[in-house]
Amino acid sequence: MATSDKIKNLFVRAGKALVKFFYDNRYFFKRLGIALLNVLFAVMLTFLVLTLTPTNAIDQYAQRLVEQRAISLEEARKLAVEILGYDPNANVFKQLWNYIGNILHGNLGTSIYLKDVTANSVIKQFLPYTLFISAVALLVSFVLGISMGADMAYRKSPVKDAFMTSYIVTSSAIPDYLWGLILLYIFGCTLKWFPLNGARDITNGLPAVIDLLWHATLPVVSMVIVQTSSWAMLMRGSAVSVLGEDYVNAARARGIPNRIIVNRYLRRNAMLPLVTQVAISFAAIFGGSTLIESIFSYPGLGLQLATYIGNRDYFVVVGILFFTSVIIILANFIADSVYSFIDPRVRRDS
Amino acid sequence: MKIKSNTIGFIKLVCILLAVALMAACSSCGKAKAGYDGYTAKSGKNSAKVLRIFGSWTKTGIGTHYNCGADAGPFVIFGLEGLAQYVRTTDEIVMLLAEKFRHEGNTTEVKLRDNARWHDGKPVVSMDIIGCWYLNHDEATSYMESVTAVDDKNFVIKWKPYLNPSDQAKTVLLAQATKIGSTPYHIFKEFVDAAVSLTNGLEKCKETSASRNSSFFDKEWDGDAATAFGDIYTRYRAYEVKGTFPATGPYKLARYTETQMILEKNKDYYLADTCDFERIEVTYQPTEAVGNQMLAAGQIDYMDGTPMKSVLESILKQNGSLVHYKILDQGTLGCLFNLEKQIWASDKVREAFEYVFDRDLIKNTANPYAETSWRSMSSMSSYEAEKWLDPDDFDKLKTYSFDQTKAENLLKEAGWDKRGGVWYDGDGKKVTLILGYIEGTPWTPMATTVQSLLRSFGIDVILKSTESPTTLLANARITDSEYDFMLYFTALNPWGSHPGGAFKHMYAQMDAAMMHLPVNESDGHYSLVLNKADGTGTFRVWDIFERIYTYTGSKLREATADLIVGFAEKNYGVDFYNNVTGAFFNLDRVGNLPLSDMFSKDRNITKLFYYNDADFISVQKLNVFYSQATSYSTGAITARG
Repeated sequence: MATSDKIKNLFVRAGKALVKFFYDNRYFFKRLGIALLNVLFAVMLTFLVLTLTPTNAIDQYAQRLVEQRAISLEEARKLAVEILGYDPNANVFKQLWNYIGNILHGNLGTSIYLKDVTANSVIKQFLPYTLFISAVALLVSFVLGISMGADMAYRKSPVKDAFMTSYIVTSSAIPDYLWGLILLYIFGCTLKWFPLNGARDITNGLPAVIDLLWHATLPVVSMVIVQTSSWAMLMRGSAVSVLGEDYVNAARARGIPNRIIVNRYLRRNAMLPLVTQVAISFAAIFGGSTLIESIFSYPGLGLQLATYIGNRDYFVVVGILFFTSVIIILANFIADSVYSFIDPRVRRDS
Repeated sequence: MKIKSNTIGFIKLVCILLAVALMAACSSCGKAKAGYDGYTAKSGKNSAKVLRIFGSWTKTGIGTHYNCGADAGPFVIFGLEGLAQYVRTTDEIVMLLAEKFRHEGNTTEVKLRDNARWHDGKPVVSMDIIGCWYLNHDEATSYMESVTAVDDKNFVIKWKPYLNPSDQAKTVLLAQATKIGSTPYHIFKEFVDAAVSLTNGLEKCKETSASRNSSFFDKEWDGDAATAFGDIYTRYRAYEVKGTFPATGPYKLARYTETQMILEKNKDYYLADTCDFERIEVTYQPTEAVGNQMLAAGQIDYMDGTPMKSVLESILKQNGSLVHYKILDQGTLGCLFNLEKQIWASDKVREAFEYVFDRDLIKNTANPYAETSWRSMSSMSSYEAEKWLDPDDFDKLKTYSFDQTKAENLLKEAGWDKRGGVWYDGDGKKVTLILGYIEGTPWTPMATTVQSLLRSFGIDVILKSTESPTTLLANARITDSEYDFMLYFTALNPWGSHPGGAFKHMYAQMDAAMMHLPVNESDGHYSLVLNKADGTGTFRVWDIFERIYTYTGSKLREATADLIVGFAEKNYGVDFYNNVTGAFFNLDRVGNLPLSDMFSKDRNITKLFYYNDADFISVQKLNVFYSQATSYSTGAITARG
């Protein structure tokens, strides 16, 4: 065979292999395409909605100039446009196009009126705090929640069931920020066991890790109180459906001890549907818990987001929202993909 | 199953602990005495001389100098200063970087303190101040023709001869530049020289120019000049200062995190001997509820403002070391009509609305410590009007009452009709009004009370809240705004002792824009014409407003009376109450506070001090937004060790 034919055959085989690869993984690529489209829509929607709000950074900055320099509002507006170099009346689509260009260069957004502040720097500075309290809260509430949920589904003790149901109803009826206020009042204000705000105290002389944990306790507990009940309810629903499965009945019939049934048969299988939920919940914590962070003045991303929205600093806001959207979309994408490998029926049905 | 039993056990334990804690928390409530003993006789608990306050800043946005757009909150208050500082609502001017002002004709000679230094140790010189003005135009620069250095410690301001402010106004204008000590020439020379050169190279403002009175340094700032200035300013703003943050004030920026800021006393400060606190520890401003809790828990030494009565009393009850002062504010809260709306075209309708509201009820709901105003909107708080007007003119301000029968008669005269308890306008259309207001205290309780009063009168009101004054202004000033009327300050003067401040708020900053006062298309200024107070004719508001800082003596009183009395006659809005703000202090830790005889009996000091009262100035100076750092740097407020 001539060399050219060999090369030709090689290309044909490579092409076929490529087509087969794409065909075999069409579920994955379809999901990837949808994820990318979601990212595009997310950035466009957040940008357009924010630019359509009635006030803008020029208004905010002008108001600041009015207070600082005692000048008239009209003069302040003119100065604000000159100083910030930002024209709020510029074409929205042109602004959006510029913004997308910046994203492609890795800049998620530059603050309109705080020098050197970018969405990247805000995320880098404040995300670790958010991740710390939210991830700990998620982990603790998940562990407590699935234990409670499995217990409620399997055990038929009326007293315990009533107690847990009461807890679930109470804790989920009161939002986490209200729990935060209650805890603050009792443990911070009155008993003074925990600090009332912040993530650390540079004057108390405590070791950094202890100080961080001490400050994080109340925000974490207020989130755990509410989140535990959600996980418990999800787990109970899932566990009840697993309890009716043939393999559980068969295990019982074989005389397998309850402990093994609960741990190996019930909990493990009932947790499967919760995997996606955990992934999405984990992704959602990247956006921060604005209210909890506000109440505890905890310097997380949620509190920053609220501040920059208040200042109408669009580009930083959109940058943060874009970042959290991407994380959530990515988490969904990973959860979908992982799930399709765990349970091939999902891939086949798709 | 063991794990689950442990879990249940843990939850039980937590519940028991919570219950115990709740009981402990409840049992500790409501124990504090009404008064505070031994303030002057005994020693306090602040031997370390640390002041703990709230503040807000952005850690990533502190920047390296004030005019870079720094968001440095408390450091701006305690670290930066001007030539002089006015104490809001009072005639008091505290000389700071300037030793003295000498006004003569249309010039002012300024002598700087010999021992004033920047935080990096360099002396403060004339070009530091001049450069800051040339780069950061403010109200004073719109009255100036030029500023030139005589030597390092002396400079001369030449005011526009055709708009020469009175001596009193000159001092106020100079004191308004509260952060002029922010641009050291030894650091910003390049930008200062460029701005001075650009300004001096511009043509003098033409006599026919509509913006002549407001032009900075009397120059023609056309598009090219504005662009060139914008370029200089952008580079100046972006300049990164290496080392110490440029400032001259009593406290230096020592350390800061996202939620804590430490300010250390500037040992080289020219008033270091009287500045008592060694350190200021600032906690990032929490939510209102948490802030109140921290105050009650004794973790904060000073907090400004007057919360709702029940909250205030609860805080004082929880902590027997706290005192709350009431502080007079040259501001009035009320409602402003959007004159773009046809409904307000009728004099009778506008007058009827003066009688519709039970203003005592509104005041008691929003701020019971304030003073009800029964006048129509006049653009100046009654407190202040009484100070600036001759008694005869002040008496010309008509007072109204809560008289819905009178309101009904006026509305009927205007062609309105009430059927089935509901009002219909002259066109037979059911009257429904949209009210814009700012979410939060005191505006929200005020809005709901106004809505309730008008509904019981037969007029439906739809409430539209916004998050801030800026948003309210933005929503209100647009053409065809949805608001029929707005809740806001019907008068406010935070600018020092001169009636011009109140008119500035009214005509140049907020109210007139929100109300859609008629505008002259040719010059862009308000075309409103009012009756003179003495009834001898009419005048155009803008003509007097623009020159208000140039008037003195009886002319100033006359002009002020014309603007106030003439406006009040129009019934363009309704005053609800003259505002009162306040300040909390922790008596265990803060010393030299006034009125110890009063707070020894009751820590909730409800007495309000007026201009002629002996303790007026000492009380007004307690609020940090009124006096900035001067109360601390001059020793008016000290640590109680």
